[in-house]
Amino acid sequence: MTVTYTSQHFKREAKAALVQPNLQRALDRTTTLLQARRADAYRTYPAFETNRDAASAIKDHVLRHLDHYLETFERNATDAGCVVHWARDAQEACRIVVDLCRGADAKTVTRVKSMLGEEIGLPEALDGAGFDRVETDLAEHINQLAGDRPSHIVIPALHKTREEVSDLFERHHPQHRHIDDIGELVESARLTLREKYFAADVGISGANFLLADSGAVCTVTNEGNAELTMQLPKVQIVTAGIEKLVPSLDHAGVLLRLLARSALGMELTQYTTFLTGARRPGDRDGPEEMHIVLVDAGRTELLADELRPILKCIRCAACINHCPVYGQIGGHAYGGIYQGPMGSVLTPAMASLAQAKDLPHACTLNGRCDEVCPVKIPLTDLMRTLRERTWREGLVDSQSRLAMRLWGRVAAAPALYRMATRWAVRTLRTAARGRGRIGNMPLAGAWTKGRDLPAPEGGTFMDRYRRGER
Amino acid sequence: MSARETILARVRDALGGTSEGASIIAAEAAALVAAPDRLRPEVPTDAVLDRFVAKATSEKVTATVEHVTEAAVLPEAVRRYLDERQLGPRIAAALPRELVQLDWTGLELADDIDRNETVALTFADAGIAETGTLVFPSSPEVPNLFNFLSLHHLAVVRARDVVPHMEDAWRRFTPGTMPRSLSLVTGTSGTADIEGKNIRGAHGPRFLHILILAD
Repeated sequence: MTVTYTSQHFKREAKAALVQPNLQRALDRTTTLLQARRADAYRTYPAFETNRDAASAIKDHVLRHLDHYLETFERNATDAGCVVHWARDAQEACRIVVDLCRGADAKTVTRVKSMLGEEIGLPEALDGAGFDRVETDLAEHINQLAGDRPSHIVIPALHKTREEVSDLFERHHPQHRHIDDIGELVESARLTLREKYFAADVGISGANFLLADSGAVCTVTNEGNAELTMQLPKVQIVTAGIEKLVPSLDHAGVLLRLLARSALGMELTQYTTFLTGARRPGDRDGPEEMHIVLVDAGRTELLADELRPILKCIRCAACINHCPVYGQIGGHAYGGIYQGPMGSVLTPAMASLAQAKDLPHACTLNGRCDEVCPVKIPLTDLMRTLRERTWREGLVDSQSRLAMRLWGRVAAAPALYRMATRWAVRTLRTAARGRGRIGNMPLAGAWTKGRDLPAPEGGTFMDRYRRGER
Repeated sequence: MSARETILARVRDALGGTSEGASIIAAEAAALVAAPDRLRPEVPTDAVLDRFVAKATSEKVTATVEHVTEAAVLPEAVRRYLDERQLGPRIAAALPRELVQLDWTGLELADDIDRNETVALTFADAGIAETGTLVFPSSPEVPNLFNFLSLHHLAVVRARDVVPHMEDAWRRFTPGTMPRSLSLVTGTSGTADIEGKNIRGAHGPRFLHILILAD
């Protein structure tokens, strides 16, 4: 199974998103809240910056020695009683999981939200093979009922209002009557999903971290759905990208202190669980088999590329929550699995640069993502790298190419440049008519449709520099 | 070539060769976490228990806390909690032997757990003051599910087992001695998936009551 990317329609979808009032309201409420929560967590944790350096160094270290850590993890997980599988690509990963489910004679398969699972098209593969797939994360449960894709990597149903959720539950939950109270909606999901946890033959999750020295798999949730999904069925399957390794518990600790703070402004998620192997002699619960599927799916290509730092990503979504572009258009416009700055770097690698060429260009380069990334991924640099590639590979349209060429000529001739900028400053100030901003700019109509262009104040930089305004 | 060999070969190609020796890598890894105090919130040694209580009962964690002066009065504290809420007498209990042996008259301590169990009583291996977290390793004595299924979760932790940081709580779990499941539980099961509103009791406990047992 492969995931269908629709990133080629980015411009159209972004435009449509800007005029959806429900989406605009949901985005505004949630991103503002999450920014405030992270800022609060930052303020009350003096070691935040030092910890970002340490987390970044840990991720760099693991990537530099990835072969060592993969082999170490495999050995220790196997010793702990796990079966470790390797998958070169999405199709192979899905085939392994589907075969394991068939081997377990599974009918019902419960899943914990995992972005890797979404990325490799696991939900579609399980449906295609005829299993009763049950998403247990509340937001993913809502998305499953609605047939929607996640619109945010941490809060996947960010685009839905309570009324829409209630409509869905009324149609799909046996006991639900139409009530818009959010507490009642959560209770309805609790009752419905509780039966499914116990009916499940196989539980599937992703991993937030893989601990090389013990072979343990770490998952974090706030709902506690991972614990029920991974303890009750007789077979447990973990799918994880090969970049998820950390050396030990203490290294995981450094990253755990940043993950929930960056994502939701919490010190720690409610549930952090380390699973090491299947049921042991004397245990009264736990799965009989534990399988771990290590997935490449393009990661080794990124490892060999200038884009390598994106493999440090711990999927906290801080860059997404702080991105002004995401804040305007939401997640679906990106047309893939990942959104915002990290999505604009990952999607071109997972689909193709040609298909996702607009994503790295849909960035204001304001650098907020770089500032909030807990593992210090230089996201704007990576997007610049991708922009250069779209240029080199001839993916930039002819009008923009012509404009850039002209700009290049002018900028290379100082006298011409000074003359042109002086003219531009005067013209823009006239156009602003003393209001300081321009609502409709000739030749940039598309740009000024959704926003104002600020008018320059007080001459060109060179003029002011010469006047001694330093 | 198998998928395993292919992936490892691609990794080595990308890195330009095989990794350095294991001991060099181990030394580098150890250096990265050699000064943990630079990286974590300070917890003064004389305020560990106070910090734990403050964090556990904070708005974000939403547990309730009760101090129990000695083991003998633990059953009384549990009975009081149940009576005030008109719960019981059945509770699913996963406790170490010395606590099972207490006088639990009036309560039915079940050693199995129902899928819609109302109350569970379990024993935490440690408490973490930094975040108000409880640590639950699985063992034959303490099945892990007891911590996640019920609506009310009552958890006993010994005051002397409350430590400043998570590293202190997991120090005794070395690579060879990891329990099958090790859970850090910080408050109750919650979700903010509908319009960002925090709701408790998403899948697991809606109420967490921590009984701190004095030494």
